[in-house]
Amino acid sequence: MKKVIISAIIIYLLIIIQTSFLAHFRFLYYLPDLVIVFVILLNLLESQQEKTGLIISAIAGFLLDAFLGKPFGFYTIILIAASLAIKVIIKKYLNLKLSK
Amino acid sequence: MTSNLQTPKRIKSMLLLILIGVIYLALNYTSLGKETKNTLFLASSPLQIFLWNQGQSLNHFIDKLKGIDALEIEKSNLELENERLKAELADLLELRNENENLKKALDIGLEKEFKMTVADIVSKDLLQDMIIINKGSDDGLLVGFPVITPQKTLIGKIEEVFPNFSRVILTSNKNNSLSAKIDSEEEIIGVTKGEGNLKIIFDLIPHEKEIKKGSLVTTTSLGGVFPKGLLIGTIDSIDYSDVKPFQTAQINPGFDFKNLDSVFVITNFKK
Repeated sequence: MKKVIISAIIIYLLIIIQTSFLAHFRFLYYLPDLVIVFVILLNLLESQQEKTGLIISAIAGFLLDAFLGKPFGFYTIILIAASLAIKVIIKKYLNLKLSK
Repeated sequence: MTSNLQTPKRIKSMLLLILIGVIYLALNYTSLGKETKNTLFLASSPLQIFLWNQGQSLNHFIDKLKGIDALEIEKSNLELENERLKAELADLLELRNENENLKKALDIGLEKEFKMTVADIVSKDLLQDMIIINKGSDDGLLVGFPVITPQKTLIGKIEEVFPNFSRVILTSNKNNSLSAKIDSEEEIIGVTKGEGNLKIIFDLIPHEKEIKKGSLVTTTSLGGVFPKGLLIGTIDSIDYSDVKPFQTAQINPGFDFKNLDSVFVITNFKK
């Protein structure tokens, strides 16, 4: 639960920083969406049994939907699908042991 | 036995998924979505405005550091331009007096042309050319209102309004196209289309029309969406091809977020 709350705060701050602060720098125009990078990394690094990655993906999706000009559900579905895909790929093909 | 144990769990998961689906549908198809977004914007706007201003200051500082070498050359160029502009100013002053006299005679004025509301920029969308401003339907804003800079350069129009915030679609947004013209010796009318990444093209220009680099592109009153005479940008490059039915030109947008923290929303103008 603590991990989910901390991640949600980080995601919220990342969205605000990228839309309000980094938006001024032309050389950062092609910077990928930091929230998506954060969520993908989080899912890659967590153990296969954990489900927090999925919950955090849903929260990140909800926040991106709320702050950006897309209908509700757009980013939520993308991020949950990405999170599930990462879990399936790691489980079936890679079997990485990045975390305990 | 295991399947008996799994069934309630499956039903629970299914019910949870259906519940989430219903919530998302409610968010999209009722005012709940707008209220949620508005509450989040409202809670975040002080931090967002602070970060917007900090980003602007830092960007200015970086630009200054980058531009020290170029300053000398720019200075001499500006001196030359200053001389030229002084001569032009003299002509313009004469024209202004003439214009004022005519306005008095016809009883028209800018303040009568449109009313404006000042708004601060809160944030910019990551993937699309859109911005959020801190005025919304509570301040009388409606979808479609034009948004301009203090220098009367067109930024875009309001696409979505929340009670305290509005989403503005920029002229460079891919979904934005508008009627525009170049004021040269002969008037060239075409259509500007957003290309994303703060790029705009001027399209549907007949082959026989000659466009010059640096020409000013302004809005026309066609369609009644924008007041005429608002600056969209300047012609940056021209793409002339015999194969294409029309020639196109790249436009340098007249606005720059580096120097922009507040904008004007035109709340009423004579169409």
